[in-house]
Amino acid sequence: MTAMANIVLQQILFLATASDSEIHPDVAVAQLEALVHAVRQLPEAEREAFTQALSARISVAVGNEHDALHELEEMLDGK
Amino acid sequence: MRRSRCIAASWASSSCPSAASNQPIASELVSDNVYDYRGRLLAVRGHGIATANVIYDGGSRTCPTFGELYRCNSAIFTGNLGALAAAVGAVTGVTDIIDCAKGKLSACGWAVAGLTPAGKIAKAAKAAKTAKASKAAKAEVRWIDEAAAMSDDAARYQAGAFGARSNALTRAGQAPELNGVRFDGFDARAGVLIDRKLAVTTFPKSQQQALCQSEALAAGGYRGRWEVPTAAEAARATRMFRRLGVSNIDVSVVPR
Repeated sequence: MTAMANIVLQQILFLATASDSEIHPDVAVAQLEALVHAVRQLPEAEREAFTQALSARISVAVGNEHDALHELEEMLDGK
Repeated sequence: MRRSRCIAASWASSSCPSAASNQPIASELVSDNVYDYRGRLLAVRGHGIATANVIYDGGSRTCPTFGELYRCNSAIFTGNLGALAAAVGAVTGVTDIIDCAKGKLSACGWAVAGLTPAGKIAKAAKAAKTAKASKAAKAEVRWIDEAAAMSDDAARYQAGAFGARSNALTRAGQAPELNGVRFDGFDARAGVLIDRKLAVTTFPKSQQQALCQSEALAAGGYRGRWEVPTAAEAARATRMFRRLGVSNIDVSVVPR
């Protein structure tokens, strides 16, 4: 489950930090919205796995990646 | 374009055609329209036979094009973490999902997100900018056919926006477009363009999108309204607008 959580997290991270030449920003935003919505709907246990993966990643991330992960954490916290 | 659901655990639905060695590739499999999640056409993409065969299940079945696969990826919107991860990986194939799991960001890069090569994206973005510049003064709201490239949840929610309509001939949903920026609904009498979002994200990219909408609305003499399903989403959107200085987009809660 942790591996799956990391894959989803990786995708969110990519979409949030990719340059406009890598992926069209409108596409990125739409997919981010979809993924965040989907993560919020995960069953409790899987959501917990995702949250743990997120926390672990935040602890080692730097720069834009760190900021994006924090932003995601707040979104998932409902802030 | 044919639609199918190809993101099962096997990465191919039973309706996908069987593939044989040296089987000719149907013409619709070597080019496709690339849409974003909300059905906005980003590019018409051609690709070679080798690429068309990239998506496969153990070599015994082929799925349609990347674009098709993207359209049928509604698994990412519901279900569980496994379905989410499968949807993320299905598009790039076995190698990429493994690389992705190993931490190669680029391997995950094109998964789910529309799969348009950077060059095509750049062209689409450039075309959009040009169109935006040339139409800014006209303030014309046009109606554009939208492909239903979204989850059922999102499609239902967006279809409920005031003024949402469909093309009587094609039966495709239509979206109002202002200065190159698309919305989900249009209240012509009130001069309000409506964008519905199941989830509000606040990444810098999301903020930039809000600023673009605001700019298009200001140039066109309209106001905007984001409709979201919960008070929490509304609060997030309102905070973001305040932080960005966006004052011409209102936020309202419209439950699903």
